[in-house]
Amino acid sequence: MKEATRPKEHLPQLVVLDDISKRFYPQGSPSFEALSSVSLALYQGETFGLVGESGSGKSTLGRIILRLASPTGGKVYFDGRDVFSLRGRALLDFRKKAQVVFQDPKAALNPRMRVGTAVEEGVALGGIAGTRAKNERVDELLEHVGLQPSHAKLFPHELSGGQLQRVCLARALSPSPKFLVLDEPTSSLDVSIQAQILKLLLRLKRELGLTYLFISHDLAVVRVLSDRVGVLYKGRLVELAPAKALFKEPLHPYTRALLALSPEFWDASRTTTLPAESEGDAEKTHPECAYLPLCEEPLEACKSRIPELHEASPGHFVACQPKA
Amino acid sequence: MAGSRPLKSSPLLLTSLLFLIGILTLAMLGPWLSPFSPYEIDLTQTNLPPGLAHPFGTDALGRDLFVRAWGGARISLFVGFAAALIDLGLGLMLGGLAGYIGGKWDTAFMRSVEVLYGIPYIMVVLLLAVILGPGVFSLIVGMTLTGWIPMARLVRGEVFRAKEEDFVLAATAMGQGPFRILLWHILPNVMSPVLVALTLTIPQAVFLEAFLAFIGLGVPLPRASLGTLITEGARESWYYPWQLFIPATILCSTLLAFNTLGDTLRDMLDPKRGEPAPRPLVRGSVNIPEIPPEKTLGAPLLTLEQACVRFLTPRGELPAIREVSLTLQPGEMLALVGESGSGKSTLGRSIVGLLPKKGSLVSGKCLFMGQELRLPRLGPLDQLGKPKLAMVFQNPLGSLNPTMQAGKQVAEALVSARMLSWAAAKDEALHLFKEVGIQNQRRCFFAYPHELSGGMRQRVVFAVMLALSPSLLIADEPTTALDVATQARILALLTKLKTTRGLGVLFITHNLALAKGWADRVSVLYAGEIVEEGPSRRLFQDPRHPYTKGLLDSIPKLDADNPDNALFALPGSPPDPYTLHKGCAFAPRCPVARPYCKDEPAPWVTLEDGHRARCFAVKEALLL
Repeated sequence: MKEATRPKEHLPQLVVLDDISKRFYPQGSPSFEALSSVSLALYQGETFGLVGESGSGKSTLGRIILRLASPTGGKVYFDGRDVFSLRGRALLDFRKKAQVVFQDPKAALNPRMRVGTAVEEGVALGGIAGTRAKNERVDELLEHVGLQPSHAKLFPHELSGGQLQRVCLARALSPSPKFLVLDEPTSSLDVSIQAQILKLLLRLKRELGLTYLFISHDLAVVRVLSDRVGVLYKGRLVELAPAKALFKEPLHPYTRALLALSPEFWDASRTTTLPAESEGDAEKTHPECAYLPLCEEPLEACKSRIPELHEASPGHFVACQPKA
Repeated sequence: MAGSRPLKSSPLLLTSLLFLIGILTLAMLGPWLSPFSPYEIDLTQTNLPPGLAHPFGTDALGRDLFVRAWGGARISLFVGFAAALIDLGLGLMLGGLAGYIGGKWDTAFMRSVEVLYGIPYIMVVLLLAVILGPGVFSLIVGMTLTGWIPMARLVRGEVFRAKEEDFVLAATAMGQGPFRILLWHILPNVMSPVLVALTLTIPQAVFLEAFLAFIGLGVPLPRASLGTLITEGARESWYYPWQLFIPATILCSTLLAFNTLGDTLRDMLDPKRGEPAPRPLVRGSVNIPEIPPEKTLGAPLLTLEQACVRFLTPRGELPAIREVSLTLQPGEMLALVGESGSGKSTLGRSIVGLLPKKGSLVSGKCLFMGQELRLPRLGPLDQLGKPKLAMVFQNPLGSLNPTMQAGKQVAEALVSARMLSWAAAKDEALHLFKEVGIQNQRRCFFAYPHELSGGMRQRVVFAVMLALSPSLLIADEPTTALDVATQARILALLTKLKTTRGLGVLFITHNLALAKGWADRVSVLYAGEIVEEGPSRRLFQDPRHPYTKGLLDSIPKLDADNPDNALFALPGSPPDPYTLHKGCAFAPRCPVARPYCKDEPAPWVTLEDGHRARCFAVKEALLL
């Protein structure tokens, strides 16, 4: 992997992304690059927040880590092993350890399956056999996420959004994973329910020693949960820093704009001039910074090369030309 | 699957189902109900009319028509069921695999299926009847040889869609094998359309068999299907009409019952059933009489007094809006804040008159510029003269005509609303594009909606809205589908229009931060009631109602060091609107609820600057 994002600390790495690219070839329209050369490492026990607008490639990245989509280039390592070369038992073992929670809990649960059965599928995968043992584990998991064992007999449409997301969490925890991809787990929930789920996520992480990849467009939520944050813009990692540093001193102009525009971070600054919206996504023939059309202080050099991530201060990486 | 509840709620389904069960039972048991044999010839009893001994009469050879008719129905239905079930089996297997595997296999499968499908169905059946000789077996083989293709295509399409669903991805992430996923997660979810197709394939096969029997290619004599009996009866229909009439009635009513069953099943299994049909209208507009200018001066733009909306649903009456009163001044943005199910969208729609006509009861007063709005509020746009009320929805793509260039849609609105010439309308449209912040106006003018980004689409919707030059805009989550940057841009645009044009905006949102940032005043809605309202700054700095407080505390705090302190979670979840009690709807979740909160309606407490809250605790705190 590239020097720029090699971890400086001596924590064990759980997930390593090495130069991941993903190109989509939609029918009838030109292909486009959803992810370009993304490299990063997730340490054991941390929550890594991945921020970006819709279409920035953040969900695609989550799916690639879980081997639910394959990259066009690059490698994913989980616990030191190449995820895409896993076969048979080793793949099953990876599936056990890496789980996912999606944005819309309603869509993430089979509408024709009782929620207890959905959780039980994972319990069985976790290696627990015997109806009695499985049922006990399902009840235990449901209680763990703040539901009652009686909920197991219900169908998804009989539960509320918050309860469904709890079921999804229970299912994700059922094979006793060590890593969870949380793909916007609260953005389809109401504010009052969102806080309940976030608290639950914090508690589960502490109790079970999990590692989270927390994908969200909501900066406030990311800030509360994350230890480190990566900012994706048009499929490129433009900034990566400890959460505190990023929110206190954003370096990339895009991160700054995001923070300025995000309603949670913004107080009465109605006079902030908003950068114009890009209208076309035509692919450039020559390399240039993707953020150039919107950048408030572009340099001449930005027009001729794509900036690479470099370490601006310890642990704080940014893909932007250093200011003179 | 269709449980007992939908059965009860659809008499048509129940009737057709019972009828079919009756026909099937008679077809199975019919021959035993009569002492006669279907092949027993009795030349002393020919062509008897229906009577006690022979309920359906006898034919030219004196055979009992009752046994023959039900025996015939049995053959016809057997052919129908067998053909349909074989189609189903082949279709599920091949279509399911093609859809699930996808890629090159799927392409190869689909191309070969299309070639097979090009051969006329009836030709195959005729050919096989000739080659294999007429008979039940050759009929079924002929019918299923290409008959499975429509089913396979249907299943493939459904599987293709279902395998992209999140729960299938989750099952994959769970390490489940492809066959388990196909059997447990995908197939159960594609069964509804398949079931409908099945109920429509059976009568098709039954009818085809009758047709083949009619042209002499049916089951060989002396066995007779319904088709054979009809053919025989048709010959004698002038003298002995019942010989035609009885088997024909059995056939027709069976086909009708199957089709009715299929139709009602399709309606019933449609997930959108019961929801109001999506409406193509971009904007609701109100037919308002010309109001003399002096009358509108000083009057609020919009006044709601004791507005109530109730929906009639199968579960009973649903109170969606309960006695909501509010006012909106020109040039003001009033945010209507609430969680899902709080009734905020219903309120917006009720003002414009977009509620489903069936099953919604609206009461209360709605004054627009001092004039009462009455139902029906919608008329064709070109009759309106000057529309003054417009509505923008969350999904801009649903509000734009996908087959029309963006600029033309704006120009069209201008032509009809302001009576401009087409050329003038085009210029004005470009001007409006500039006003809503579109930079490359010409390019956007000729672009189709799908070619534009979400933010640009919403801008085009706003341009259409401006073309109508309304004085009041109801914006229902106009930025929810957009990312933060675009969100801020759209709201900045609304704020600009507010000041430059004096536009009044009713901004419906679930996002407190947006309301805090952009709205002048805020009304907080909980379970269909306003619980607190006031100037934005006051309300967010000093929220009084426990619900507003809890809601604001639920937003992650950014300055806390310990993440646990940064979060406050309101306990419980919003109430079931069917079981609301008389008092405050928030009482069961309220940390400061008094014992009487559940039983008595909470009083309005007026604070400073038009800041009001509806709560016993606030009132008591004020009295202390």
